[in-house]
Amino acid sequence: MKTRVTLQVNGEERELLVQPHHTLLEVLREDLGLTGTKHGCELGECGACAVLIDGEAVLSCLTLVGDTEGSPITTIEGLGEGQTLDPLQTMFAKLGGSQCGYCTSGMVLTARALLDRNPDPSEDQVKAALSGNICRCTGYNQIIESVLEAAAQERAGGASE
Amino acid sequence: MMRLPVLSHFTPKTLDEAIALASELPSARFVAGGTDLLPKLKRRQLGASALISLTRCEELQTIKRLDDGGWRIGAGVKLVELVRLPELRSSHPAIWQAASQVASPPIRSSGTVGGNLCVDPRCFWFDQTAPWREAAGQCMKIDPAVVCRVAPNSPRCWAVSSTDLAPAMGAARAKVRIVGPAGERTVPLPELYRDDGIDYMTLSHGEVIVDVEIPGSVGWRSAFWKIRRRQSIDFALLSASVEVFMLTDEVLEARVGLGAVGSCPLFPPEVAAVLVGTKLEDDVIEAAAAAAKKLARPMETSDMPSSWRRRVLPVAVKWALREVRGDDVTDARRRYGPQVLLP
Ligand SMILES: Cc1cc2nc3c(=O)[nH]c(=O)nc-3n(C[C@H](O)[C@H](O)[C@H](O)COP(=O)(O)OP(=O)(O)OC[C@H]3O[C@@H](n4cnc5c(N)ncnc54)[C@H](O)[C@@H]3O)c2cc1C
Ligand code: FES
Ligand code: FES
Repeated sequence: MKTRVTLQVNGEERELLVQPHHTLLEVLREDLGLTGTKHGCELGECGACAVLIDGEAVLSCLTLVGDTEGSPITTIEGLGEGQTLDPLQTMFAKLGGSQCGYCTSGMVLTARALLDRNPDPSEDQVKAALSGNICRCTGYNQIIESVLEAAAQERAGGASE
Repeated sequence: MMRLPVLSHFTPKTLDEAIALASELPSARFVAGGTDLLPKLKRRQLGASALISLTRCEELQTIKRLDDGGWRIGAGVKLVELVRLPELRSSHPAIWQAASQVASPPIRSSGTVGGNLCVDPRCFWFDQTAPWREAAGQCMKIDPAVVCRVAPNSPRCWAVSSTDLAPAMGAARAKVRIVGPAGERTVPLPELYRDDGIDYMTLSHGEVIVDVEIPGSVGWRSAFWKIRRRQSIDFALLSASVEVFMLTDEVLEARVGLGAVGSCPLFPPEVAAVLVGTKLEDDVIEAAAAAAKKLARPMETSDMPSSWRRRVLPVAVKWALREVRGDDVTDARRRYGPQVLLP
């Protein structure tokens, strides 16, 4: 039987009927049409489904939708403002941090959580923070570079191109 | 999509409410972060008619520093909160090191202390998807009428205890407070477990771990070493936690916890005894490692052969002992757990 939940997704309050056994991943993609959040393993092993809940990067495939009521949720669709991209998105595009793109929303959001806590991470800290996110394309170097470069830009005053 | 089985979900706001719900629902399960339970339900390894979330029960969410320098850590505290506690890192390094090496960062942002202590023992056969097991055959942990695939002649299941916190917290003399339909009780952490891959905990239905109390550590030094395939995401192939009490350079008391080499965490007094009265000289460290190797009997449950795990267990014990002796272990840490070195 469906139950009513009120979710705060990307700054908007969304009231909807959901299956209680559905994860946040299913609700975002199938009920809210927010398909920027990707489904990979669906078992916690790849990080493709990561979203921000209360500012922390968590796996939407392992989060029961009922447990997210009352907490702000940010998906990749909620980053940046209007046509202006988040500096992380800009740098991923510019430096080749994204190739097929499947891991990208999880990578970008996980990196966002890192930079919000630590605006000046070392390379080792970036690697550690992204160590739950798997990429089959880039070999990671460009991803790490993109995050470090976005962090540097934000520290310098945040001008994204 | 790998979906959960159809089930109802409750989000009680108090512990009493959670326990009352469990009493009414014999086939319900508690869930905290969901990072161990949900994959198991999705792979149809376990069943449940309902999930009762503990995430909103305030009683489980606090961390408190105690007068003796110890800690009371709520079962609902997330692993990431432990990792962000520099005071825990300096007072109880082994527990901090264990928490910081569980799974991956996003899992540590949801996964809790209580859920970690209750991780379902693992086995390469049991932890497969439903279609794999339907094709290859079930095992005893799914269907009691079938043999244990790892030890077909054995009457029991040998799935391996895979919690990282338990060996570290047990060696640090932690006590666990449990509240259930029959009231409250407190047990030393090792007593939470049974040496059985299926019936692995001494909790009964409706009992909730509320918090873990860890005594102060003045005079104690500790270290936790975990060996896994990759330095992130993966469960332990084996782990060793050591605690030594020394006021000068002589060990007056010692505890050792071994993880992922049996169906429960092991706290072998015979290994700890090798250390007492010594100054952790090289030959003492060798002897303790050899004693650990002798008693641990890992089975073919993991993605490395048991012979390899037996060979490497003493290596982990040695690194942990060298670390508490004060050796510089940075290079080895870089290989076996780089996150432990991060500022
Ligand atoms: C890819 C992957 C890698 C992992 N790697 C590791 C690893 O390296 N080391 C490791 O230790 N774990 C690992 N885990 C398992 C798990 O993520 C962690 O152990 C985590 O801490 C579990 O906590 P949780 O709150 O998510 O547990 P849940 O999944 O919510 O619960 C697990 C079990 O504990 C019970 N439970 C939870 N809280 C309580 C309570 N307060 N009282 C009584 N019962 C309770 C639940 O009923 C359930 O049976 C991994 C998981 C995944 C998916
Ligand atoms: S889809 Fe969630 S971790 Fe892979
Ligand atoms: S860009 Fe293809 S998986 Fe990362």
